Amino acid sequence: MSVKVTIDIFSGRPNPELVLTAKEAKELFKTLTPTGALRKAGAKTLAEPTHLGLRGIQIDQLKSVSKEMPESFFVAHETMYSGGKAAALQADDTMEKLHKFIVSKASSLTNAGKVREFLKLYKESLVPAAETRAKTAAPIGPIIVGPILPLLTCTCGPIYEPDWWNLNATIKGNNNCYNYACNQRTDSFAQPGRATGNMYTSLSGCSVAAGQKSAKQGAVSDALVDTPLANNQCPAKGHLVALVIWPGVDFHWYRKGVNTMWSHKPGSTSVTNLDNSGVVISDPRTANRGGYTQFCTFMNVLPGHINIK
Amino acid sequence: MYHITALVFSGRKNPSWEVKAETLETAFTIFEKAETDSSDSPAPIVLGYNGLQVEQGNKLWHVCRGRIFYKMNDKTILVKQDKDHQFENLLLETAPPDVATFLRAVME
Repeated sequence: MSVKVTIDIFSGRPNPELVLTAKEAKELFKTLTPTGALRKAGAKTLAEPTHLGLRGIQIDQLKSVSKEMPESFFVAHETMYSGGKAAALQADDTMEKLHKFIVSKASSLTNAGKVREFLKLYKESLVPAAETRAKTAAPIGPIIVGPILPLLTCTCGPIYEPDWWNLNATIKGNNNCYNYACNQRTDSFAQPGRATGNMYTSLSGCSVAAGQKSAKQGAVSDALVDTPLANNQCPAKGHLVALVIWPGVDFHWYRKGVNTMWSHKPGSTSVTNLDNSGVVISDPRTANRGGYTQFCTFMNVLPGHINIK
Repeated sequence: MYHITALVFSGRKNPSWEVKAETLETAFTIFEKAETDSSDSPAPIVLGYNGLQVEQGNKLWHVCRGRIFYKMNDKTILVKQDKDHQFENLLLETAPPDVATFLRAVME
């Protein structure tokens, strides 16, 4: 047993670990070639992640397997970190390969609890490779920790836990897309503005005729913050939701989760992370939304601030 | 009395109406005679029309995309095929005229 691989994902619990043989470690190391020598982290290096959730993979050579690799190092967003230094990795799909490797060894993990449940959590925590690449293309200095967090995951985003909403008939039947988006169960099929006496009076579109109240105005009255320029980016505080309109018929909401992907609850039916084409939703503006053809706006939900009924 | 709900809206309350038991006699005869469906996987959820639901006490029939899910206490007991949407159409005929018109348009 030569190399320990630790998945840095938990905050309170011990992180899951895996011990590899020398042969397995050498196989893994082939995918982790740095572009050059480790250098002091600078303006072109992303800071080592510190957010809640999957941060990266720690690798420790318990016995020396490769002298070309540091004895202990950390891998995150296509970068290797060791002793305060960092180096970009050669292949831009390193994290993807590393995650596949870990998934293939999942049955050997310790501290992971039930492997199936852990894998579900692990996969949900992954940031798609293309997204990671896009983010690493815009490097940020290592000292700036705050602004970097939302780039990696939506740290304040709600977790995707469909079973909590789907398995109890009372919760499922009496909470709609607005409840789910706001992450607040009311058992009242919440309506934008109803709690604050400003419920919408027209669903003709995102904007409505003078004298009428729109769903967006109702939501603003409930203390959701209209952020039309959010451009699918996670807010620093709270979580992002999106309002769409079936003109003249209905409204619908999506919410952006901690894994940066979107999910929704179509009325009294089950929570899902798929659109009408059965595709996972990375951006509600481009998702297949059926009759809800009008994308209205992004809004920010600050837990504890909102009032819905 | 049976309570019928059209699963169609996301934000607004879904349209629903009450019907007398005798109105649904033919529909339930069709259900009884219908062939059992081999798959009990739930119907995929989409934005828009997701079928009709009949409730009586702890019993529920949900017809959606050619299948009828019979549930008791929210657990699926039986899934049957709704050949040519016969069961669904009979339920739809009991809807108030404006609701039926809207649903037919959405179903297309």
